[in-house]
Amino acid sequence: MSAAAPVPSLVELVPGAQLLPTALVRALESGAAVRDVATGTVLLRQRAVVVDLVVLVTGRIATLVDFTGTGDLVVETTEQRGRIFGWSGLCEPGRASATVRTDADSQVITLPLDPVRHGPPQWTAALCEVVAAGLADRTLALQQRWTGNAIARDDA
Amino acid sequence: MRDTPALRRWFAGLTLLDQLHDADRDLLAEHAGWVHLGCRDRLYGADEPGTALWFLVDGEIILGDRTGGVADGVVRRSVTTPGYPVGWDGLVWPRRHRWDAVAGSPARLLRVPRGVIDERGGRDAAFAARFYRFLLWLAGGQLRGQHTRLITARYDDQTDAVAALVASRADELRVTSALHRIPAYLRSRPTIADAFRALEAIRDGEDALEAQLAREALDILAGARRELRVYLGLQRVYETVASAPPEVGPAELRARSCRALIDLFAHTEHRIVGLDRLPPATGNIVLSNHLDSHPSNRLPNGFSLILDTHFVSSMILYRTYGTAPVRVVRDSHWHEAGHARYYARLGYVMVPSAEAGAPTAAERSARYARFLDQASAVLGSGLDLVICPEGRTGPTTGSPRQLRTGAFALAARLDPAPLIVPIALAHFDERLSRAVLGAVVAEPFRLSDVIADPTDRDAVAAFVAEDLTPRYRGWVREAAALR
Repeated sequence: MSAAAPVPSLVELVPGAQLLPTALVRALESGAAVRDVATGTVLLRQRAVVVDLVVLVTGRIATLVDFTGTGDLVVETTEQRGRIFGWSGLCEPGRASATVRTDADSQVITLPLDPVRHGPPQWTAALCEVVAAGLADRTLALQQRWTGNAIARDDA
Repeated sequence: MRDTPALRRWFAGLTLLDQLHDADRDLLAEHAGWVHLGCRDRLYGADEPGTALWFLVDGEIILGDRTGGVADGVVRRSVTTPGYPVGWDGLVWPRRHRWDAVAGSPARLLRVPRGVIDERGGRDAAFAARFYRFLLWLAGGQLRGQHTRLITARYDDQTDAVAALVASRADELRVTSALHRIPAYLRSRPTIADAFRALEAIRDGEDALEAQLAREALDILAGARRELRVYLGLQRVYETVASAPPEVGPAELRARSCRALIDLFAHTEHRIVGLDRLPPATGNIVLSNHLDSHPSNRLPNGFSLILDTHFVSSMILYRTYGTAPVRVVRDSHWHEAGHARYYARLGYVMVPSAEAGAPTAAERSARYARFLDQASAVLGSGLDLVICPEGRTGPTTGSPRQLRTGAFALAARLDPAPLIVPIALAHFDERLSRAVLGAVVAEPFRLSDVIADPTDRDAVAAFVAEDLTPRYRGWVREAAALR
């Protein structure tokens, strides 16, 4: 990983981030780092403690799940700018539920969670709402992709 | 009727809400209102504003796209966990629902208006933090569950998928965890119900990891649960009739059977078109094409309830008129004790089975006269008579194969001439828990409307073979296309 360009505005980057209190946005952006990362870089490791949220700016990110000891299986890939990873850092026990890895040379922003953990409760409420919205959108995208696959298989 | 103390106790007992404080749960209980849904009723739709959070009390809610259909676990997900919150996706930005929510079976929920949550969150930031962290946990659980289902969907068999799910977390489970026994329970039909009971107990228990795995397993097993419900429903229908006290007469048993069947079909997906075409009163000859029974409908005594005609009797005729019809049914074969025990009680018009061998002309004549007497008496008493003119079952594709003319000869002999009501059925030959059952009620007619001389046997045979049969196949295709 290498440090790169100035931090893009979270409000412009992340859907729903306009809901976040201005002070929270400032706190998040002040600790944020923009990083250019090479293909195959592990950004979050399943079961490891999560200390940062990761936001995709450009490139592609894969989500992998270790299942029955057969190794990490790719369950999701996205090129969606503004997608957030590391939600489990905001919930107990604060460990990643999946491995997150770059699937192409990418640019990401890391947002330390400490300011939120030590900030006022309305920051937690607002950030949890925005991150939860992103998870709902990821779930929906997975369903839509599955439907698309099913149609493609029928046509094959 | 609201019973706030009972609702408080119910919310307090939900381990799913452990992250919330007692006062938070009391708030939900104090503002929760009952919502009752029938099978296929819609709770909310995609793109609609999120106005509330619902808590499932019992039944099944299917979350997915608006195309309908049964839950496949991936595109359409089934929620059956009592206390599970539904509709959270409409409470997070942009505060519109992502999915349709439809009842997969009769369901009861408790609805807490969004305004109550917003109002408390505005006054109490700590509550807002707990509540939205809870929603994030739900959203994360749903995404994680989706990942699991994407993997387990690669398994052909739900039991294998659950076995793999348990194995995937075996190193984190207690060695004495009951979850280890679940795959064995699932592999034997008599213990499937035990598997569900065990999973539900684990889901409601205090071990968070076990509870999460049990919820995911129950999600994966939504189809198996639906099959179990259907199977238990089939058993209830049979026992309602076969084990009824001897003093209960055939008319009352037919009505009880119809009510048990309505309960059974409430757990299936079905579409009926043309109910408005039914005659205003009973006393008609009702025709039905006859479809094979799926092997999964076979009861432990070997008897298969053929459900197409039962659907006509209960869901179409009994629900419309409040009167159970009489059916024409073949005699039981010598080895069909279950068949005999069931049909002997219902007062149906019985006709000889093929097993009886080729009758002499005199025997045939005597049997036919008996059939005419009994069938005429049924119609004369104002009851509907349900007949399958094919005389045998077949697959939906190409149904009906060949219509025999007995029902029409009966109609030709009666005065006044009864209305003939064709009903086309589709997909009853598929596994009930996965099929979308279709029924089309076609326009009723009198034989004299379509044939100049209804007693002309050649003209009747030509009408049935060349006119009615092709049209009937078209109605069956229409029923098969209902979604």
